[in-house]
Amino acid sequence: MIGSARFSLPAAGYLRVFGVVLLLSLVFVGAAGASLQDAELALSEGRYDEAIAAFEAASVSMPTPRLYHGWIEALRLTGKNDDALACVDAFVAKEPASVELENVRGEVLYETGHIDEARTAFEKAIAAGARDHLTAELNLAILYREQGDLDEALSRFDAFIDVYNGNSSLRADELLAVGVACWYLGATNPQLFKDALKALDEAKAADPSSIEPTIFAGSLFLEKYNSPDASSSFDEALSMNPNHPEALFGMAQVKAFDGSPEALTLAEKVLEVNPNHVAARAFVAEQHLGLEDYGSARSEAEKALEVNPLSPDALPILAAAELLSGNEAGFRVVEARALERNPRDADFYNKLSEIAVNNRLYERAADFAKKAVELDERSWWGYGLLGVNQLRLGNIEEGTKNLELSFKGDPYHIWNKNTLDLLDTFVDYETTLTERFEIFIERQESDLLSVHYANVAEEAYQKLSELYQYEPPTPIRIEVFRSHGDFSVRTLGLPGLGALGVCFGRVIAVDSPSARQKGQFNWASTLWHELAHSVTLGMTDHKVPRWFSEGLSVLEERRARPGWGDDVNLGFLAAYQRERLLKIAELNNGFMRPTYPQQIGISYYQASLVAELIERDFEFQAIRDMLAAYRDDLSTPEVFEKVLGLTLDAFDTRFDEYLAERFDAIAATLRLPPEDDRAPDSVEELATRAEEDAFDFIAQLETGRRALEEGDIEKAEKLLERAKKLFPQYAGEGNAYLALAKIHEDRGDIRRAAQELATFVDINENHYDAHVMLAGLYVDLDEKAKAAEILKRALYIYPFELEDHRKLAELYRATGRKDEVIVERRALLALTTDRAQALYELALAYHEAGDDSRARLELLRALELAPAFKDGLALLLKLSRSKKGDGA
Amino acid sequence: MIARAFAVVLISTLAAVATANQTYLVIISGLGGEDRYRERFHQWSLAMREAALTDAAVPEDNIFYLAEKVELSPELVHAKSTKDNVIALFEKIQKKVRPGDQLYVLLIGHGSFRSEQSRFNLPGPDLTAEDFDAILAPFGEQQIVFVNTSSASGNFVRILSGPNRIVATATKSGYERNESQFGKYFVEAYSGDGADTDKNERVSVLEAYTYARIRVKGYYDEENLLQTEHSMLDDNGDGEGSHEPSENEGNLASTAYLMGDAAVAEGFGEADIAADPELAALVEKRRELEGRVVALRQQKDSMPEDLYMQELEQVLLELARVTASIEEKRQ
Repeated sequence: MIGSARFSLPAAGYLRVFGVVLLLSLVFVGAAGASLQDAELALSEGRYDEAIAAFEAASVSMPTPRLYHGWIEALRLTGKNDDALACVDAFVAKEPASVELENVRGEVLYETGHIDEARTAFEKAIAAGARDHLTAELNLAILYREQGDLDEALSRFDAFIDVYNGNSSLRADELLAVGVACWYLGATNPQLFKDALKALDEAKAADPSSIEPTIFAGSLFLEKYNSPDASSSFDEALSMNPNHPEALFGMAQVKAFDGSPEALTLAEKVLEVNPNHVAARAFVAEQHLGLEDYGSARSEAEKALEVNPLSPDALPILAAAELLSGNEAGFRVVEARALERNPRDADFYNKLSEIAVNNRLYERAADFAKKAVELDERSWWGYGLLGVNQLRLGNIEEGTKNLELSFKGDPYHIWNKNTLDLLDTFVDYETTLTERFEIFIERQESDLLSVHYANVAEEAYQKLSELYQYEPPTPIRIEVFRSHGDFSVRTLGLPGLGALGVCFGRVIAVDSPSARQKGQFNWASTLWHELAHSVTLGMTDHKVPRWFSEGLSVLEERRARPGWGDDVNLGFLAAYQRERLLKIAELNNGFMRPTYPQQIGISYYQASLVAELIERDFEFQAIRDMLAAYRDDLSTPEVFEKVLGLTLDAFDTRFDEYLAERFDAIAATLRLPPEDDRAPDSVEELATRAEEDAFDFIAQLETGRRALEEGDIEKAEKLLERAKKLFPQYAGEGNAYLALAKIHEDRGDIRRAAQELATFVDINENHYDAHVMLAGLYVDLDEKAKAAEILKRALYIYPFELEDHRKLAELYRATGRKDEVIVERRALLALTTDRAQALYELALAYHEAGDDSRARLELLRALELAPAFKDGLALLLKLSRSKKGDGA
Repeated sequence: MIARAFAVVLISTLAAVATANQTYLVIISGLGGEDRYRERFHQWSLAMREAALTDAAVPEDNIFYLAEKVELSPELVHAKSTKDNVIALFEKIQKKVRPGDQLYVLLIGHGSFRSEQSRFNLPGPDLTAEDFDAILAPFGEQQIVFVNTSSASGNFVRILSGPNRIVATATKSGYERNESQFGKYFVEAYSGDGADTDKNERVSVLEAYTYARIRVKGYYDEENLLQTEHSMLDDNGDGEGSHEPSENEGNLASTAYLMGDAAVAEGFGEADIAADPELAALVEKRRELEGRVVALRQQKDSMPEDLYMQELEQVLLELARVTASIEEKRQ
């Protein structure tokens, strides 16, 4: 559920893209100029093969540093690092005294993990005053930083301020170096992030043909979580050179930040241009981690490390792959390798922390972040990660403290800012303690919601722990947010999360029913769903795959109440018929990298069917065993093999049979059109289809509804009944049940109307009006117990209607459910403006339930507000007499 | 500050016992513009009239209703609600009122705000807030309740605010010009159930105002609309209304009822009480005990909770017994 990423600039990335600026600023001389210009044009437009060939051809007659810079740049951008170094050597062979290519040599060496040789090359360029000696200075500072000598690095970055202040005519490449230095210095003074942007802007102005300032600006924006500006920058860079690997990679990171599946496509495009692009390879590896495909992640990370064995991008990914696949020893080896490269590599742990979050390992994430800040006291990223994860673990005080530290160091971090702003509002919240829960709700809703949330949560805990034979650690903190934006910030750091609830294990955050419009969701089933996650996460030490955890949560919703949990719908049937359902091995993609709009919802339902099939064919013990196997670090194929005795392919086959058994008949009635953009059928066409084809569900339904609108009740009923029979589970927009209920009610046939609605609400958990209407019909039929049950289910959708609670209290009273009367009277107390009346009624409920002591207390509260309240005074006398009677 | 507020409550309640003051209710239904508004304003006006007459026992002679069209209910509408007729009516009432009486004015209709002037729209020339201030000036010895339920009525608070005056408006300023719902709910507070939150079987102006304020918000929430009216109430004479009256605002309004004599609401007339000394003593005792609850409540924060609840229960039990005795007499 949680997705976050860090877009800090890897040193290698910086070093890689530098050469062109310098190159273009050199004075052009030479007889073979036309050919060199062609080569440079090809390079700037991303036609690298042509550029390489042209540079090579021109080098025969004009072996200048400029030419070699361009040639080497083309080779580096396409990942031909050995050729690039050979090129440097060839130039030096021709110009032994020249140091103009030493910085470039250092960059290539650094990118390929030859740190000491790189250092020597940079020092040589600096000592001999190469034209790009400032760039070499910067590269050396970065090298120190990446080796863990933070003070030396900062001192060297700081020198760039003097360079800028002391020279008003810096070249574009020099301004670029100043900008990058300021970026690094931002860790000590966040104001310098602005100076970094300013220097990058000036660099761009100094040489509008240079692409690098734009790319760096994009990366800086993204690091500060400003996706729109980052996207604009990378767009601009790609309009200059659509094949520039750094611009493509930057855009891939923007897409990943935005949760778009295009991210992977773009990263793959980077690798097409430059198969040795370490950061892109690491990025792809990380995407595999997100999909819980640890084997592929390991393989990709190892490929990246073949290019640069010390890559700070790839090492944490490899470490994470080892860790997540349960290879703790393997993890330690990679960790040691990273710390050998840089003993103060806070970002190694920061990256691990983020990956841990993406895999719902929040305690581990906090541990990693803690290590990061221990290594680098200026790791504001680390403090932020530590704080956010402490909040996820319910440690609000420490979490807030660390977030504040992070924000002080990096006030541009919008996620942390949003979270801190939200934490400021926590003074307006109240905590209600129950046996196993801390229920945290904004004060104005707490009285009403806390008792209902507590009842659902305790019931869910009881039933789920019995079924799974596992009791999650308590207390579990449930945070309920009136504003969806606040919920989103609490879980993601930013507004815009589409979910209704998130489970961090011992902390659950959910939308309050007031956060959405009435009828948009069922808060109680949402809470049940999240509590099921608490169980499955807890049982597996948070190692359960996302698809399985979601599938079980939906299954548990369905088990809890009629109508709860996803049901088959048109979208699912269409996906089934069009063979767009995913295999088990790929099911995580449906949640994390959806490729079509409905895929997330469809994946939830599909995952629940998988769980359902396992329970049907292997008993529920198999599910418990599977969770235990995941806890023991088995992969999904191993878990299926061990517990079910099936390969994933064999299970997929069985699942296909199960789907066919359940849905083939219904799916066949859909008469789905070809998947294209053609306009929907007209009313007339539908009517014809309905006439000609009694098994065409959509035609029957739509034509039936139209007949009802036109007053042809007989025809409407016939068609709607037919539609209902064809696809009885359909309870979505324009379903047959509501229309048929109306037909029966209009006829005065209350019982049949109630039957239609009863079937409907057993499928649709969110239709508030249908629930209330059905409860009313049951009252008319004098079926008070049923009426109460349905009205209670209506409150699971929307609990803020005073009249619903009043009616429910009366229904419970009429059916002798005295404890429930008290619950509803308490709810009324939270909703009404007539507090004295509500307190009196609550007192009466306690009295009727035999609790006169509590009755007296509530009554005194009522009379304190309204001393002239005759009914209240009469009850007080009655209680007093009864007390005396007891005493006698 | 809290003690001072409660002191006012107690004194005012007792004052109501000592004198048999009269309420004069003036309902002015303004220019409807369209039939649907005309009919709506008329219905609200009738509902208020009926509630005053029946529930609050305001004598019929003390109720005056001016409407846009007399023919809507010729037997109930005293005159067309023109500016001249309004002025003439108040001149007439001025001759009847005694010191300590209450003049309750309810405006139902459309309002407007032009050239920094709030107006209540009437057939013919409108009446501005300043006009009403002049009309009410002679009523210096009466309590005035002035409720303008029209749109853009907010400025009436500033102009009409004064000692012993309760001014309520549907909007917070002249710039809230959209159709207002406040009037509907304000009248409903008197004509329906649910506004009498202190259960003394009378609806105070504050209770009616609060009921309407909450219902208006509920209306906009329910309709999923941005709330375009924010009612105001002023009763401390400072010219600054409060949307949600608290400590410094609302004290006078909490003791202002449509009816002067509380005993009427209990089913007894003044004559009944005068004829039965025992009943008179019981009624007096009950008021004293109610006052003791109020006084005790003021001390709540400075008392241990157990002691507070114990004393509260004692007083309330006594009150319950006295009330039971009064009820017996009524039956």
